[in-house]
Amino acid sequence: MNWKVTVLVILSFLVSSCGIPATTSQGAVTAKSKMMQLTGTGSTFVDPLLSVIFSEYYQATSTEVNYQPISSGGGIGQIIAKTVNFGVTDVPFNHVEMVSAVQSGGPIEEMPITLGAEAIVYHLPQVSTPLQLDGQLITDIFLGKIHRWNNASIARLNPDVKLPNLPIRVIYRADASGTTYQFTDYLSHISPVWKSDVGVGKAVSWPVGIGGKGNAGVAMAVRSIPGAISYLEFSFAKSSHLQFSWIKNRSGKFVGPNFSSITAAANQSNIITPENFSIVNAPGRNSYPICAYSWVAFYRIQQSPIIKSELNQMLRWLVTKGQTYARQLGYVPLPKRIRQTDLSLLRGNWE
Amino acid sequence: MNKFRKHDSDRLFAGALLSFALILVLFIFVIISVLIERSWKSITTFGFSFLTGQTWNPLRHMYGSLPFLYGTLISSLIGLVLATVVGGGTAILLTQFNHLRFVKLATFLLDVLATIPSVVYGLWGLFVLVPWLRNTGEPFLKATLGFVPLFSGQVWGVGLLAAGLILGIMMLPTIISVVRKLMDQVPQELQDGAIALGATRTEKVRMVVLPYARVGILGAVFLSFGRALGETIAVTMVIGNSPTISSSLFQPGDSLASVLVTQFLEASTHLYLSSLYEIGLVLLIVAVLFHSVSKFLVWRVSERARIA
Repeated sequence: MNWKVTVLVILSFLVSSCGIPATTSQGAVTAKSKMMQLTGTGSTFVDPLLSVIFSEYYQATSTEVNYQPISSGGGIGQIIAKTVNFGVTDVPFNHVEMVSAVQSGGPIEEMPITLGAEAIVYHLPQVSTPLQLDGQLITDIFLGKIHRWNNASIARLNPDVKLPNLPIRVIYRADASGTTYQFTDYLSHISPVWKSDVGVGKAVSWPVGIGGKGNAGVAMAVRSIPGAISYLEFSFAKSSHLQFSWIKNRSGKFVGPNFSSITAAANQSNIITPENFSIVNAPGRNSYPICAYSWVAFYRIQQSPIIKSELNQMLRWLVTKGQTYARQLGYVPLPKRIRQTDLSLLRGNWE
Repeated sequence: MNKFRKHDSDRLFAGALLSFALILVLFIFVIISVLIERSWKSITTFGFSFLTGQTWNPLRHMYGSLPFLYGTLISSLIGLVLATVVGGGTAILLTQFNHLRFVKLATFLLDVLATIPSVVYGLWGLFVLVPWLRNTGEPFLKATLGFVPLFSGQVWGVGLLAAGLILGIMMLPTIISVVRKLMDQVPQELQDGAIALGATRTEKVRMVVLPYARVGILGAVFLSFGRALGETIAVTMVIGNSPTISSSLFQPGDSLASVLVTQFLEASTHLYLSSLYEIGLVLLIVAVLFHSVSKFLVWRVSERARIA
């Protein structure tokens, strides 16, 4: 082999490996027999719920739905790359993501599929009753303005709790996440200082604290560090047996995250759109203040009519029958009005 | 006829071998070109300030890699110091004072240490080392050496010190086994000569064994350092994942490899992803740079030894 050939071989490899376009497998359908398969990817938060729903769906319709929980950002990325039939994300597409998606495959439809909340979790060995916190206090803690647990402003809200003289150790999500988005969204609703200095996003520059990777990393850090405080998806906080606080809502009442307080918060907003999706700091006496929807996203225009009708049928099942599995798994079913909006979106799209 | 065929098969064999070797060359080319291509947007946007920038804020589209570079180098340096002192000492014990019954056990344990996956080191670090540092180690250092900025500030447990200690422990088996082999290669005549001249064992180590093996030891140390630079999962678990630069070893930090593993999957915007690719590129360059410097140092020392 002479050197020219060698160079040529190397070059051709380089060219082919650099320029591979994202392969389109939008028609991820197995043509054999009548067995159908839909593929989706995205949020890890909804995975326990979706795996139950999709296994029930398979029993009912023999359509297989393959869901890969990589991350919300991953869900958005895979939709833009057109490698999946649907993506699931805890935060709807932002402007930049939407533009890329539209360039890639046309307009995107997004609709809520489940409802969740965030718990403020902490690790105080001697404290058994739930702490009572308000938004301003949480903001000050995460801004690094309050350093110790026996601070007067914490004590004022918790007169019956013997607060330990421990340093407050802030834990946050080191990876970009919808959970961080919703938490910073809440803090920005409470505090103009937070809004201007830190801002709202899936990944922000934290004034104090240390990062944990994923829900599991945060939970592990909180469990192992006395004096730690962080934010976690409620169902995850519950299953990892961490202490979580009650939070003062807009009506001045302290509310813990639970089925009815999350539903109460969601019921305050009848119209939820991908542009106007925030339901944090909701009014109402019983509303829990840090709640959010998870979203499914898919292309309005589908190349394959079979995929299109299968996807439609699956999503319709997901927001109707599927919602009955939510409660037993620690999720909150969609309020009736949201379900109706979802169904009319699906109808408008396909009929 | 027979000869011709033999020649032919040689050529075939050599050609096959060449193609294997080419895969390697190709691999390096592909990795570097992909890294440069993917990080191009970040390179053109930030230029040199990517290396000097201290802010990593995806929300404000500001990406500076200095905190990660700093955390990588400092934690690796702590590990290096620990591993060189402890590892070097152990190697001397195992080779020079080898009448001790302890040697066999130590050798066995070292082999065990070398086979432990890094995630296990990370878990051990998180659940044993970090709580110990938080409750005992760091408060003690703060009480005794707290006037030095290195040992001041809030005590977390996780942080640069924890990462450095874990890295040091992880480097130990490599350093010890390489240094041991090097010391075993010191000619017996030289060692016997030293003893014959009336040197104690300690003097023999100091004046004969260490000077003879120093080039190799330097090489081993640099080799371990190179490994520490890229160590990911164990560091991620104990370094604190906070992109800040602090003079105190107690404070949380972050490393190049660690930020890649924590943030890559979720990076959504083009610039964010591109900046993470550039982090990968920086890591590659640092590793290559270090490798070259160490090669050069070893070469220079061995050259000088040859002349002398």
